[in-house]
Amino acid sequence: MSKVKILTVDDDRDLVEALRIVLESGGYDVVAAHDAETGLEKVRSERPDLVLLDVMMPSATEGFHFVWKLRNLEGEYYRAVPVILLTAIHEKTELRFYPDSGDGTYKAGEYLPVQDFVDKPVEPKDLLERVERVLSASKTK
Amino acid sequence: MQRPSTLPAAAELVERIEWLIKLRWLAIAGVVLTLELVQHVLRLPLPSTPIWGVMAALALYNLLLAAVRRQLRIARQPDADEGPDAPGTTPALRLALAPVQLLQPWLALENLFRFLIAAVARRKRAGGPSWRRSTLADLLVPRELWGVDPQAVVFRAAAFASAQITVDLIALAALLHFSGGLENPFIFYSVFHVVIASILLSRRATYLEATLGFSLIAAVGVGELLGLLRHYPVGLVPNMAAYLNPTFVTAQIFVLGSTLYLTAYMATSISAGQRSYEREAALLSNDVARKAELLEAAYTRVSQAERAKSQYMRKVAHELKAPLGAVQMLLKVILDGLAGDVSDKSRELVERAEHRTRELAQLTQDLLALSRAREGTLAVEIAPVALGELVTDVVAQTQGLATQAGVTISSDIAPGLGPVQGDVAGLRRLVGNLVSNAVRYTPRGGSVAVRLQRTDSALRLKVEDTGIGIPEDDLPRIFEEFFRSANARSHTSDGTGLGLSIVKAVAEQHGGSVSVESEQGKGTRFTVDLPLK
Repeated sequence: MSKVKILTVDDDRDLVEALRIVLESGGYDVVAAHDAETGLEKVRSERPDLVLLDVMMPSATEGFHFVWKLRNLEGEYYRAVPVILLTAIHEKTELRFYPDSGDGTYKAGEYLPVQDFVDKPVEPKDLLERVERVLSASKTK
Repeated sequence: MQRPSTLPAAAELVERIEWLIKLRWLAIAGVVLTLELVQHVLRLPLPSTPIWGVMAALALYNLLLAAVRRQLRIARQPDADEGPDAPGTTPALRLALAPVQLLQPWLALENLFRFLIAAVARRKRAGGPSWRRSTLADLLVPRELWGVDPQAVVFRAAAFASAQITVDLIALAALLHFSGGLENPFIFYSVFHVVIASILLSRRATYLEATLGFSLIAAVGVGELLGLLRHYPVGLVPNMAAYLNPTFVTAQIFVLGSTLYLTAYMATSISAGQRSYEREAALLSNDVARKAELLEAAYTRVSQAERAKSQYMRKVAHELKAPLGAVQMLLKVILDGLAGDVSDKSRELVERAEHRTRELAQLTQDLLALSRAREGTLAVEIAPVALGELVTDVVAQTQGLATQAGVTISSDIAPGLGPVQGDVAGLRRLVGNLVSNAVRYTPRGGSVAVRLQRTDSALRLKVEDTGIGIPEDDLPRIFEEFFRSANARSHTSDGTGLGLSIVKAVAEQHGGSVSVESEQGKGTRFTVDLPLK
């Protein structure tokens, strides 16, 4: 069985490097993209099992747009692939997100169709735990 | 020279002139009534036709005044050349003002006199004061109103007043002539005109009007004494031939003259004082208005600068977040040994670096929160916030910290509190900062009480502790950015000194306020009022 593949989408290469080390220590394969456009391409070509997305890169809305575009791609996979938002924005806006409704319909502007969010900076152990949890939740469906 | 905004002075002059016109109707009615009374009740022999004639002429003049008085109110741009003869004045107004021209000979005389004095002065000393022709405006307008805008209105009003007083004095003299001359005690009514002149005109013009009145009445007396004018006896004095008695005539003229000039002196002194005072007041209120404008402009500039500063601060703090996050993440990776083995010394150093980075991240967060609150409502989303739940939540979150510090924390939230309109993140910050501060600055064994109640128009949050307190001298400064009192710093080195600045900024952003009471060594109570809109 091949290793679980995680795509990190973040414009900060140092942060991506740290994430890669943490995730690889947890036994995951890591693919990195440094902007939203490349991120979408990599989703198509690599078909990761999970996306770890920085919501603030480089403008406040680019991460959100990435999620909407991803969810609107044709194919069950794109609606189901779990996304974890890596962000400090949760504190700022008390953003309502969409933990796991899973009915496949996403209403723009109401909930952000992601499975979890993680405030930056995150303890390596916490990050691995979250990833593990989201992955197992998506498998049981 | 500073000029008062004038219209008060000019308008007041105009108003007084209208009052004069009303008073004249009363005087005419009074004379007519008296005439009837004297003729039919006292049965004194009065030549009613000429008296009626004088009154009719005066009434006609007053009608003319009433008709043109509106033209006095026309406020024009100040124009030095504009006067009663200025273009744009109607023939009716020119006619009403014509009696002023009676003052021209006097003015010519005065100018000649001044010219001679100046000439003599120049002969004595080269470059002496140069002579300037005095104009009718110089003569009439009270000194205190010189330079008052619009000068044309002031001058026209003064000329109007002077014309009326002149006509009144002539009418009074004529009336006296037909009713016993100097034997008639009403000769002293001329005092009224002097008083009115002192109120409305310059000092010189007042003396001039006094002189006119005095000369006219004296001329009647002397004329009758010398037989140049016919005497109309009215039987007001026992001696029917008093008007022929030089002693009586001299005495009446002397008393009249001294009365008029003394009155002129006293009344002009009082009026001048009053006018100076009014002028000062006008200048002052002008000054106050201008200063208020300047202050407002300055305030606008300051608040614009303040907002620009906040925006800048927010951008800088935001830019700091990403690199700081990366640094923290990298350090955590090292500390967790994910990048290979770390020697004990290296681990300790990295731990210290990570700790300092956390402080820096906290500072960045605080700066962001502060600048968002300072920018008012622009940078945040306003929504109804259930403050009671928020406070409960914050207290629950702080519980761990409190337990660790050996501090008991209690909350008392009044039921049924409505929501406040606000920025939920900012309000969470406000409550969180107050509660965690209270815990941090309370020694082991102490307590923190959080209360949320409703007042008439606000929700009131009280956070009270039994902590170290704030020194009295520091109380006024604790909301300042980066200020930390000495006892707070010695209690714990943690803290950016921005926490309370954020509390204040968020409270004010929501139209509310924060206050503090504290006693060193006893405890502190913060009270925040957030208005219910």
